Amino acid sequence: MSNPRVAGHEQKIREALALCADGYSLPQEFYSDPDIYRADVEAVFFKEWLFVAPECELPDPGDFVTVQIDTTSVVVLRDQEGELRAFHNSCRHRGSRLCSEHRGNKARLVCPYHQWTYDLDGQLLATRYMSKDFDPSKFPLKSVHVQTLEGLVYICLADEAPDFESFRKAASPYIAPHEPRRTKVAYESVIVEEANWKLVIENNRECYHCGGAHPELLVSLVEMALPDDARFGEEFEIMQQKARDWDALGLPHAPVDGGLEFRCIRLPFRKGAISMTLDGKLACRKLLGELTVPDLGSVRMFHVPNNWNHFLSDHIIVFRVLPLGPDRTEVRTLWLVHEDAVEGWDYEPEELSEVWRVTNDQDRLLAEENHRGIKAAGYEPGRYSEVAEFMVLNFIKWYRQQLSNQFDGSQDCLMAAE
Amino acid sequence: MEHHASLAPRAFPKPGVPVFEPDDLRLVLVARRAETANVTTYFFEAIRQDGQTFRHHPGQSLSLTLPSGSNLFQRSFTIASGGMGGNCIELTIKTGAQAQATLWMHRYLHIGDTLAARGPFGRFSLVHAPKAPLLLVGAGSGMTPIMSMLRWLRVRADTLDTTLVQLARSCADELFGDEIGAMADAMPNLSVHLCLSRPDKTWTGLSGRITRPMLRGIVPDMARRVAFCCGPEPVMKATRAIYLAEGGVENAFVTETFGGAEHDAASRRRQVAMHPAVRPVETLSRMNLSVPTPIDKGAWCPAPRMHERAKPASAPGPSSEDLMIGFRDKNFPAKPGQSVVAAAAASGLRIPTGCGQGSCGTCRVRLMSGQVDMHDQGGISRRDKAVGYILACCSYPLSDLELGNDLAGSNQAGVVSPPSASSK
Repeated sequence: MSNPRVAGHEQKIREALALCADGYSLPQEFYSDPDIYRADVEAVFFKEWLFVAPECELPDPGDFVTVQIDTTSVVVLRDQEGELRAFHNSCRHRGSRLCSEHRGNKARLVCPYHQWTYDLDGQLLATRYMSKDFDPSKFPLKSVHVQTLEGLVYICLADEAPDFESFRKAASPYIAPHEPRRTKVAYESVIVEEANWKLVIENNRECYHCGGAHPELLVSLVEMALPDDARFGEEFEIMQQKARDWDALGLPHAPVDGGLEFRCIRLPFRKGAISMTLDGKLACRKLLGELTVPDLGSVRMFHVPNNWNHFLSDHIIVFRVLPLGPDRTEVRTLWLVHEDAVEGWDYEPEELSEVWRVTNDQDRLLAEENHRGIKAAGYEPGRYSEVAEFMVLNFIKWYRQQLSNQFDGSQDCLMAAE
Repeated sequence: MEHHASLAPRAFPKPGVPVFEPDDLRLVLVARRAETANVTTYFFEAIRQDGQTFRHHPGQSLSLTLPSGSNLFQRSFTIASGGMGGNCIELTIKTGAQAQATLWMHRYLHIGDTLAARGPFGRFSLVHAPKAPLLLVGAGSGMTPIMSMLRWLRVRADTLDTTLVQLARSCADELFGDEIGAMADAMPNLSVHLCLSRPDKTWTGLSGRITRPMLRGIVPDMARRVAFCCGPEPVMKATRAIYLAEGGVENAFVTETFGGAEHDAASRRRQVAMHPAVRPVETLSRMNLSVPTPIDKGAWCPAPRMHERAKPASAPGPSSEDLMIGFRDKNFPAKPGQSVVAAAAASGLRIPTGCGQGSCGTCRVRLMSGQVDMHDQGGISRRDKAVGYILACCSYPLSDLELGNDLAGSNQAGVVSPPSASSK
């Protein structure tokens, strides 16, 4: 607890939490108040594992990407030994950012201000004009936890990171056949939504809105979220059939128990569709990894607080959500194809990305309208559907827990510190 | 992109390639040679009834009239010779304990004997393929048409980039090994590979079932090749799946199945016995050619643009009773009793929909022409109705329809507009 907090701030969070009702959307201030936004950053984004990038963006030593979590910039890189590492993107001299680019390749991290030079393992290698008693070994870059799940890179800014192994163990068998490590980025989209980050996640966690909003997505996507969802008779039959096919192929498909933290399931597409395209046909002719069966539906994998993904037979779509402020959220989407796939022969980037580009934009408008409506004087929390929005309920439950853990227990921490 | 040109659309048959009309034949056995314990090559002189010289394309086949028990029936075999030897042809035929007709040939067909036959048949021939690098995959006795093609290439001293993969059970089952070895020496652009499914312990080459990494290891550029594959159905299915998974063009993967299955012949035995006058030409339907379609425009053309692609396979074809609906530059059929939304969905088009019963108005579309029977539940205002809007979920076409593009959906979702996403 190196961050001394104002007691009033904590009191405000506690009071706000006390106003939350189970089964209802959150009170207005959770979506707009700057103090609660600060609390979100501290209790969620500085505590939880965050998805950053697929490993295929960092294939070689020296490759790096930077990611900005609120005001904190982190550089994730592959060191000379091939290991992934993550550091606070801040020079140990006077704090300047080391890397201003989103991605690139560097032999060493050199501060652009006074050229303090760090090895890719974070050790300070060279400085100029420092006194003789200056010990560079005392000034390495501050490291950040980093883990990978089958080629998806996650970081954690907490001093002690929460468990990653149970997530890896549960989700790996679903993802491994798609071999994300052997992919490349075919298309990237970064959009900024004028909405609180929780509204972006809430919108993603239900398909209640899909029928009215996503005609392109629904060419392929089934609206059910669980294989025994009784609302959808025809989709239920497809699920039964595909479950038998996937069992024969040895591909796991049943939903994993990820508690409130994560979710992983393989679900079929609508009849006749094998990929997320406008015509349901393959977006990339070269299938991922060593797959030879094109009709695999998609593995839907979600991890709180900022990541959902679709793993198809022919491509992978990864989504990263980062808060930019109480009213602004960045959504970065990458489309990954087989590393040997050839643009123009195996796939067309515009066609490959079309469905989710359009869907993202539709979702952006929905989240922004939601945000605007919540900020209006007439807003009061409303009921979620237990059938169609159970994943939103899970998310809200998890979120309230995170804040409670951070701020209800904080008095004990402060007393212990005293 | 050069390869696009080399796999450009071709007509079938390829212009300039002669068509050899099938005719009734007499086959006189000239010689025979054991290839393996259960595979024999028969050398025939083929005599056409019309008196012309017998000619065939590499990969084509013959139908032979053979006895089985007290009946006669037709069996098809690919010709193993290359088609440059005039009346002299070779058939390389595998027999098994259950394969009565081929067993009869194996045991009782002597030099000088004559068989009735008809041919040549078949489109499984590289003479119709674009002049593109080749992948030839032969499994078991499926090597015979492949061998025919190789011999044809060899006689023409062709320099086509060709990769041969032979799949066999064991070393003893390899077919044409010596000849293929000599071809590989003589043809610099031919590379040959043998994969054994059940090798003995001394074998150090490729073994086991054909897999994607194995085949890619041999031919990393298989997707750029025209592939000919012949062998047992499961092998062809697996090879085809690998070829497509590597990005190959569907119609550039050409297969052929027939011959092997005796039960196939047995099932027709009664039919032939009951109709002794059955014409040999009827055997055509038994050849079970799986060349998908004549090679037409698009067939050899990779990565068709979205707007050129056909409708999803699941879309039911229009029948004469269907009314047609035009929407967003597409026409799709509406079956009797289908709502506009259901008809669109059946053709892979989604109209934004909420309640599905005419009360929320999400599916509002403008009816530009035509008539519908609408059963709304108050989800559309009188003014909207008056200016021609309908609710697509509860409207049933009474005539052909033309729908407008402006939708009611929460954010004009149905119109694919350029995203605001920045692409880098």
